[in-house]
Amino acid sequence: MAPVTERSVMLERDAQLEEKNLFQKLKDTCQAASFLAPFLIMIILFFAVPVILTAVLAFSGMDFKLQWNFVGLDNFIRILKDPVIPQVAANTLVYVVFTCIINVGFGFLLAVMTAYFIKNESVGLFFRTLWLLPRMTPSVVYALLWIWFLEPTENGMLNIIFKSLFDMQPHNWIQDNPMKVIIFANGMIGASFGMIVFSAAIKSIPEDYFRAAMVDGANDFQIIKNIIIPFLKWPIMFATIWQTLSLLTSYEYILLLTDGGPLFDSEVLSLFAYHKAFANFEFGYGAASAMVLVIIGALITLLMLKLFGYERMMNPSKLGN
Amino acid sequence: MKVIFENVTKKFGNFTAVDNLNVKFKDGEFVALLGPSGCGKTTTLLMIAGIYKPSSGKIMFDDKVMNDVLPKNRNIGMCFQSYALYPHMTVFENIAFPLKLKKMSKDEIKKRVMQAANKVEIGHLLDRKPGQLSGGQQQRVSLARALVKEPQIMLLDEPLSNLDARLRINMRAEIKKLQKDLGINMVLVTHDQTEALTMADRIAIMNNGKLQDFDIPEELYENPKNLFIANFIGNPPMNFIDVELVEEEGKYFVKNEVIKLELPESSRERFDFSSCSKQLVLGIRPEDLTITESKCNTLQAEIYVVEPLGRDKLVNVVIGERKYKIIAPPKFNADTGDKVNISLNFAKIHLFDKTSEGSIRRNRV
Repeated sequence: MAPVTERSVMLERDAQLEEKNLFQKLKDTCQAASFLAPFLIMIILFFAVPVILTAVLAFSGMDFKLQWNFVGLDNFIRILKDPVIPQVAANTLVYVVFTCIINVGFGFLLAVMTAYFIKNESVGLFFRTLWLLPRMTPSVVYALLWIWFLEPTENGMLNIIFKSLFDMQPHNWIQDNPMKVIIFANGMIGASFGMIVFSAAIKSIPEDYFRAAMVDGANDFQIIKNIIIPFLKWPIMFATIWQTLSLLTSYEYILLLTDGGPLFDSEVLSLFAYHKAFANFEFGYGAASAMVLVIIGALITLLMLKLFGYERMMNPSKLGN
Repeated sequence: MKVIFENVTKKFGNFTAVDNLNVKFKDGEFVALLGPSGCGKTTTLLMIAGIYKPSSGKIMFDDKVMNDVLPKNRNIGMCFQSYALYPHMTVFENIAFPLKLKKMSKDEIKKRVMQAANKVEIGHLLDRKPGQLSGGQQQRVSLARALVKEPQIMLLDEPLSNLDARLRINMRAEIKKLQKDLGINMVLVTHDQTEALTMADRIAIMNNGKLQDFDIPEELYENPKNLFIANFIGNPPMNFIDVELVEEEGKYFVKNEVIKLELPESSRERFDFSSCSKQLVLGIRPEDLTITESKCNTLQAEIYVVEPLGRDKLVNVVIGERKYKIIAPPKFNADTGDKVNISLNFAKIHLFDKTSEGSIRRNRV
């Protein structure tokens, strides 16, 4: 009789389920909502609201008097006419492109070093941790270290090194090469991101591929070229997009190292918006510059996703079978 | 090309993967490295490939010590269980890869890729990516990639275990044919005794990093040197009975609580009873047991279950507490619980020392 009893119990349960269905659905929705609520509230409060405010602000001429006097497209026209904008735009392009190359390229190099050449897992981990340290340091401390390192007097560390090596006179590094300094400083700290992503990806390539390539006669360089890079296509693309976007909007190291100077020599668009809003208290104009940045960011994202093929990236794993 | 291992040991930290291996593969021989997982067979293969270096000892190809020769300079072809086909390259590019690295001319590459591809019958698949191929086709591509270099030695690491049963049987024969046609050395790593028995000229059977025996399949099957080999080779596996050896009135008996069997006169020639211990393990293959009417010198058993295999029937019986397997003719019929008598083919029994696990068979001259 056992199967019959079991079956009747199942039928009874089905009926109960049917009854509960509507109530259950409502309950499920509430439950899901309650789990999402804290995060949703945060997003609305700290992202959606500021974005909308900024967008509205961009069409106003708000200044230190904090009055909403709407001026239409005046701010945007002013951006187009602003004599420093061409330099700021060029700086932004140089900063984003070169820092991104260092971030991704150097990150890849570090990943190959620590995950491919160093076979010992704990040694690799040690070096990766070392490279992560700047990321764990507060930005201000990191920037200060660079400022001390590049100190223009004869007591600056780089000056001491150059003096002892080439007997060179002290050099004002930041003043003379502001863009190079911010690109290098940003590149060094940003490389750890690519390093983590890429080394995890290298570790996940099945060992057999390396063995097959070794037996097929590939040396280390050929293995990197023919195995590692093709397998890392998607992580490389992801890191490139991610870094491009975050570099477009980040300015804290520039602010701390050069503050955009000398004059506008290292001013980038995000720092420009910051300066307009919080140094000159031209909130409306600052908001408009920020809006331009958001639009550029969105366009670049769309373009890159199209270029790399987002749908294909989202397909199931590209590794192995 | 001869492959010679001389006192080869491979350690990973404190773990000894391969323990003092001494073995010699003949020129053009098909050798299987057989053993359960973790026995050191893949480590041995990777040492031939040069991917692992021995911790001590020497590996030689003919007279040349290979310990420090890089994989790319060894002229080996290798197939992997996962096939390890480069997913971003087409079949053609995959097969051409080793040649491209050798900087051969385009025409030469094309010619040799076509040759290798036709040899394994994948000439029509050259434009596809590995992801678009079935398991069997991928297997052929990996064979072609290994063959295209015209290697002196081919290493196969569990090449068939990802294929379905029918395809596996086909590929078994094809790989063996390929090896015979090319006349090159092949080393096959497998945990599947059927693969080893059917394909290899000689089998090196390994356990816990130690070589148990290296011999032709028939010899390993007929005269296993120790309990491990007896247990590992043969399907269904050999039956084992713990027994005590006793001598009564000039005759030898093996007995335990439930059985007592007289060993025939001839067994004195096969086994060395004088120097062995009294605690033995009697081994007998399922096909060397017969169900009979006779009660003389037989085992009394109870039918546990009968499994028809098509060609014959596998009868599971219980003697005392333990279960044993017998191959019976297809017409045999019995119900669970029936009492039967089982006679042994005494010419085919195996006796092992219980402590040392070695066979007490006399060495043949």
